[in-house]
Amino acid sequence: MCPAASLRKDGILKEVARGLISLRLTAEGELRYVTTMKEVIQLLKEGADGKIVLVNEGGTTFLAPVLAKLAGVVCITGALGSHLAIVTREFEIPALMGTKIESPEELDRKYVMIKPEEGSEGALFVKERLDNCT
Amino acid sequence: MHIVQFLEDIQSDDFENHGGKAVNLAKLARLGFNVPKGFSISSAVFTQMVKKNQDLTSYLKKVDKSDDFEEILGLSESIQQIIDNYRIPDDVVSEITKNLKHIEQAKFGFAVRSSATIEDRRDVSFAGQAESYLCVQGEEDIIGSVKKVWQSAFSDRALVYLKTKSIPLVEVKMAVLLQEMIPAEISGVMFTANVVTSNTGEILINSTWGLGNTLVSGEIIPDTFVLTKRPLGVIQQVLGDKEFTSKPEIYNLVITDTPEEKRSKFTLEDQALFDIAEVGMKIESSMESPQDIEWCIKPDGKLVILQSRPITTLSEPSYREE
Repeated sequence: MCPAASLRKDGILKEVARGLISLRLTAEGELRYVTTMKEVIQLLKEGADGKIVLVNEGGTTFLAPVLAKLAGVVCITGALGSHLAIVTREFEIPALMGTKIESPEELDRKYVMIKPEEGSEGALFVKERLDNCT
Repeated sequence: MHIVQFLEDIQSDDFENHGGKAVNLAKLARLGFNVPKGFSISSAVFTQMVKKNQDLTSYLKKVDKSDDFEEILGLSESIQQIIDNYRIPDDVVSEITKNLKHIEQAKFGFAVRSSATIEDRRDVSFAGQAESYLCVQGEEDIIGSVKKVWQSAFSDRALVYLKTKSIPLVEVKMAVLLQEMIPAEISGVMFTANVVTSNTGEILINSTWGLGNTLVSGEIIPDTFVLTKRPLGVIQQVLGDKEFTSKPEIYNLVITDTPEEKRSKFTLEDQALFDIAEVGMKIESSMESPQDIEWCIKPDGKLVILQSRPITTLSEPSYREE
């Protein structure tokens, strides 16, 4: 069995990162890695409802057009005092900050879950098919 | 009406002229908290620029009417250009330069900071939407930075934030704060309530070495501490990587890799945390609501308050609470 993994109906959730969570809320959905305002607008056109967005920095406040529609945000750097954490709280969605994810592109379009853990901490899980896990 | 007003002269009802950041800092200065010396350039100067310029007014109206974010991005570029080309009236420039001379010991230059009327409200933070410029020296660069702060009120990200919050652009009035630059040893953010759990009996602190710009902009992972208020105690601490350190030098801001021995060490020990928390609780009491406070520690160990605004998000989340 994968480490820190739990069985899901059609796959398993594997923990891929930990960080600090801006609100004690669980969120799950398709992850999109965005780095520019244009990509945010593109996501808005495609439909951002229920998606989870992964960004590089915690000062990334260009997410405003989609924040009301997102299920959550994951950020590679930053913490609870970063502007992104403050703004996402205004929209009542969790942001998992300071995750140190090294290959964000690999998570793009994967199904993920943000889950609160002990205290202010949280974890990011990615859903994998059972045959991918050894 | 004064174009320029020193912090200690700004009153609580000057919100429309000097914006949330300046009014809150002025109140703290009057109450005796340690706030960097400085003054605010009234939002009336910004409003005058908007009113004088018909093209700018027309573009702002177009943004207000549009629901197409791509169109808004294009309009933002035109708005930026118009403000860039604007020549600040001579009497305003003269008033700013005259007052700069009254601020002593600005060895590391000035922080040129936004103080919008829609900023730091109880319901809207506008956090990170407008820009601040640090270690700015010389009259020409200071005037240039004032214009850049004005531009940032209508940057692409600010415009879409304002649209999303249904705030008409005509309501945006940008005052600009000029304050002495503090050569901080340690900087941080303190929430006088735990914003993660909405527990008002706890305090949450982020801190890093040097200036706090790398922290609020989220470029680094700072140290995180959760404290109880009564009795004061540390209940959680998470070491951050603090990858970079931002320090002011005589003529500019320098960002360097943080040495390994400082990355692996907490920025604050318990007593320093308690001292900061005590000040936070006093500010919370003075401002009559839980606060989101930016602070720094000077080389002489004194705590300086850089910003205080109400926490906008303490109501209980309405769904999926764990």
